Amino acid sequence: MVNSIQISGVQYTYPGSDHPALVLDEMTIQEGQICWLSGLNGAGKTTLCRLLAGLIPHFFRGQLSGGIQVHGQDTTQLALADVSGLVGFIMDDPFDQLTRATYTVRGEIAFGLQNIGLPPDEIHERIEETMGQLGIAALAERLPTSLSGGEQQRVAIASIFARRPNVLVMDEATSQLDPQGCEDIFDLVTRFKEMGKTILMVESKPDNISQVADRLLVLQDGHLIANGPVKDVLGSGVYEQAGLSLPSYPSLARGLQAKAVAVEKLPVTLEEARVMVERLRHASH
Amino acid sequence: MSISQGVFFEGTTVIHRLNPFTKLVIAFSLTLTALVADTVWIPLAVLLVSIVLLTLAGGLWKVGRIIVRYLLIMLAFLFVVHSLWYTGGESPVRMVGPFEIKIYGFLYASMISLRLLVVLSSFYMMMFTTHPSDLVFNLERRGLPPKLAYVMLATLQSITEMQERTAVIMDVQKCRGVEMEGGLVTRARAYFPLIGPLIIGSILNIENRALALEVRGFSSGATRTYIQKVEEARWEVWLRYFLVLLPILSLAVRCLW
Repeated sequence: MVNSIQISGVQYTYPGSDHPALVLDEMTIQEGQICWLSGLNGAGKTTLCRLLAGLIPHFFRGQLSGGIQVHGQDTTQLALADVSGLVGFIMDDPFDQLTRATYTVRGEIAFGLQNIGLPPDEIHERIEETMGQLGIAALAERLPTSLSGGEQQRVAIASIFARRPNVLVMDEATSQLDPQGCEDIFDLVTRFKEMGKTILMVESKPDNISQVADRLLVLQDGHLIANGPVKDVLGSGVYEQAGLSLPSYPSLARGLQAKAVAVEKLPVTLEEARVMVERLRHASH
Repeated sequence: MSISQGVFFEGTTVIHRLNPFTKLVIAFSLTLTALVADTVWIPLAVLLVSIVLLTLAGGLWKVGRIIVRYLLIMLAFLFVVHSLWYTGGESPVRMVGPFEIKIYGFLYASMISLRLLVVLSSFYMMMFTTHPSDLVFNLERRGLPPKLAYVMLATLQSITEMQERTAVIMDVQKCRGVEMEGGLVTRARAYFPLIGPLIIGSILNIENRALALEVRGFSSGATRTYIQKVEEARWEVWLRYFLVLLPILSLAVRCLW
């Protein structure tokens, strides 16, 4: 597998602060994976997202050292507009992400493509393709600000995705959505993975993200304390030691272990949980 | 929320169908014509034109409400102060009951009021009938730098955005038991728990909007592509030329008479 993101010896301190917000010795993410980035408030999740999206150091100044490579390109050396073509950044509030400079969804998606001076034919082609891929063709002529939160978030993602980035960074992209809106976003993320995109998601809904993520990265006080397959990291106990709440299935298994029930591996998916329950039922007979 | 529309309301009136740039020229032309005049008759005539345009646009009632709610007290105060205490020199007077009304002061207050009403009605006529992004897009096509165009758009939108935000904060503060309604002192006191969240929220909103633009290559430096066509009738171009002449004519009247 090809490395999609490679970070080495990174240290970043926000302007006016004397304490680094992020200290990463080594972090590698491979292409075509869904990575779940977790940590308590202030752990450095948003800072890492901003770093990958090129907003650090191009938008947020401060002191930055070390190397950040996305698909072999040093993002600190590229212009922000070029980084945004490599890494798509999606924020938590869907409303805030709308440019409010257009009054159709089609225009909203076109905005980023117009900014980089693509020819009109290519813009139209990409708009149609993106709306088709994200299932929002029916919203094409709607006013973006009049859409529901989930629809707005899908439009925001579409407008980023139309730039065809290799990596998508989603900072709490589902935090303001209703359950259906969340489901839609997780479906999209799975589709992006199938297209070979790398996705880094900061997510506070462990039950949903644990079902789709390949890797789990845990940040604590700006340091990366775990980076591995979801099951391994959850099973290692590092996640809980960082003060984070387990998803429902592993949590159930931990509860059983606490009551001296023999559970070998923590289940992560629904299927694994079902198998665990089946085994326990057989064992009890 | 539909903040992005500002005070715009959809419609199919003849004013709605005008090119946004023409409406902007109308607003500026009427305003300047009223401002450079030194006789009340010109602002009065311009105001009548504005009222006709507002009526055609279907916005007369809306502007009337704004004037009654926000401007009426100020205008009344203006008339009282200038009519009774005019200091611009000797003035003929007229007794109204026990009050000595200074005619020049009254005319001066009329002039300021008419100018204010012209500014308000002509710009509201434009804003009621023009989607902010249409206006900005149109100006951008005529050579306005995209960054400046966006600042203009954000400023137009910020009016309703701040109103919405204020309403939300007021509701939140009311839920916490803060008195937000009542007499003058109560309302003045209510400003403090309102201003903080309003300003901080607005600053954060600006940062998020800037981020949203930057992650879409807003500062790429590339020549922006336009995918919409600007369509306008030939007569609108001639109308704009005429509108440019109006303030000049008003100035000429001032200089020659």
